[in-house]
Amino acid sequence: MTATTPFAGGVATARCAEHQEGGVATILIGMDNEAAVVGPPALHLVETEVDGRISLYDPQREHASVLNETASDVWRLCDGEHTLDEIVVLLARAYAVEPSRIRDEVERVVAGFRDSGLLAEAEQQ
Amino acid sequence: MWATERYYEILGTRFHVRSSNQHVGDAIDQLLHRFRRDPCGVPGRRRYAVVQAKSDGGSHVLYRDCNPKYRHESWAFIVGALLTELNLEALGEVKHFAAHAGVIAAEGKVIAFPAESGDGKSTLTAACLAAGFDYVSDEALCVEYGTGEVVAYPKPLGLSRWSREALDLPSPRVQLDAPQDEAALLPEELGARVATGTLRLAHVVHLVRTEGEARLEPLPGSETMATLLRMSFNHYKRPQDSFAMAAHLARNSRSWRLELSDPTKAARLLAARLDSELQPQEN
Repeated sequence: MTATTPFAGGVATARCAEHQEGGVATILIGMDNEAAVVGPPALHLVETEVDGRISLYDPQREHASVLNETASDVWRLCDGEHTLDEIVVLLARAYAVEPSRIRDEVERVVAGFRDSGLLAEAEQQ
Repeated sequence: MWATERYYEILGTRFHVRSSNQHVGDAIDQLLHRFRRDPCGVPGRRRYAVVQAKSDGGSHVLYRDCNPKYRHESWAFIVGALLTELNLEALGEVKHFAAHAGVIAAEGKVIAFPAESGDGKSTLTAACLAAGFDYVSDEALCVEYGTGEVVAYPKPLGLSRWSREALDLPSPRVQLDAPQDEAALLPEELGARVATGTLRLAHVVHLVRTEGEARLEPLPGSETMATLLRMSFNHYKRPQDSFAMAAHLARNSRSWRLELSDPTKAARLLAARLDSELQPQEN
């Protein structure tokens, strides 16, 4: 069973599973995260670029992040316009590799951005 | 009671240093003469005193604001402890962006080696002075937030016995009885001048210990930004300004990786490559 529901930044597809016990139906909804856009950057961040690499300062946490080349490329696409799948495909094209080769790393980098509170979606959560 | 009483200003912090022993007071002044100031009525001076006790065999005591901090039979040990205290306090209070680094200069162009204690920055700094560079500091790269100018902090260089032997340096004028047999040397003892005039950061050199020959390779500026923030003493006081300053310095200087085993050869490589061949960026 599937359903669609409005989601911040776009439309997400929800996968639903039904579980019946004692006559009560419990609907478990799992979000298909890969259809959700990534980002945009948290509004309060200060961003700067040195030699093509991005550095970010979070004044709320008083924390600085200096990104390497790959992370900087991923960051530029975390603009609230692209899903994770799209980011992987775009970067794979730019690096001239198969998307499967970089998917894990891109996911890890995006997870890092989320864990560090760098994305606006983290603020909403 | 006091044989000597003098006033020093180090990176904007004023100190009042007294000694009950003329020889000890003069040894301190020999090391800190560059920072000596006339007495003035400005409040907020930190008070230090070195007192030789008349009892218990004449050991020496270092007091800070009338509170004893160190006691030792050797006055040289106490003088070394005093220098450490003054350094820590000055760096704790400095109003500029400050990062742990050895710093030299040539014709106003500054070269910094940001590194942790024990990574060889003081030894390399001393080797560079012997190779003809001017002295800025063996401890900290200090940069004014407003102007971006480097502020010299020409404290006595702290060099271990190993460093002095590796560089074939003469015995210091003031021999300290410090842990690891560290001595405090003045730049003039190495035949060097202290850098004067307007100083701008031109190169940041990241040090890597190696077994082979010295090598100097370019690095992206983002490496310098990360390193300066990591090595900063006081970024937490003005975090956003420190972030901006690190980015500014990274953009407006050249970044290098220096692999070295012999500091003298490394200094000669720096003198050959950085002084004449390459110019800093102008952004």
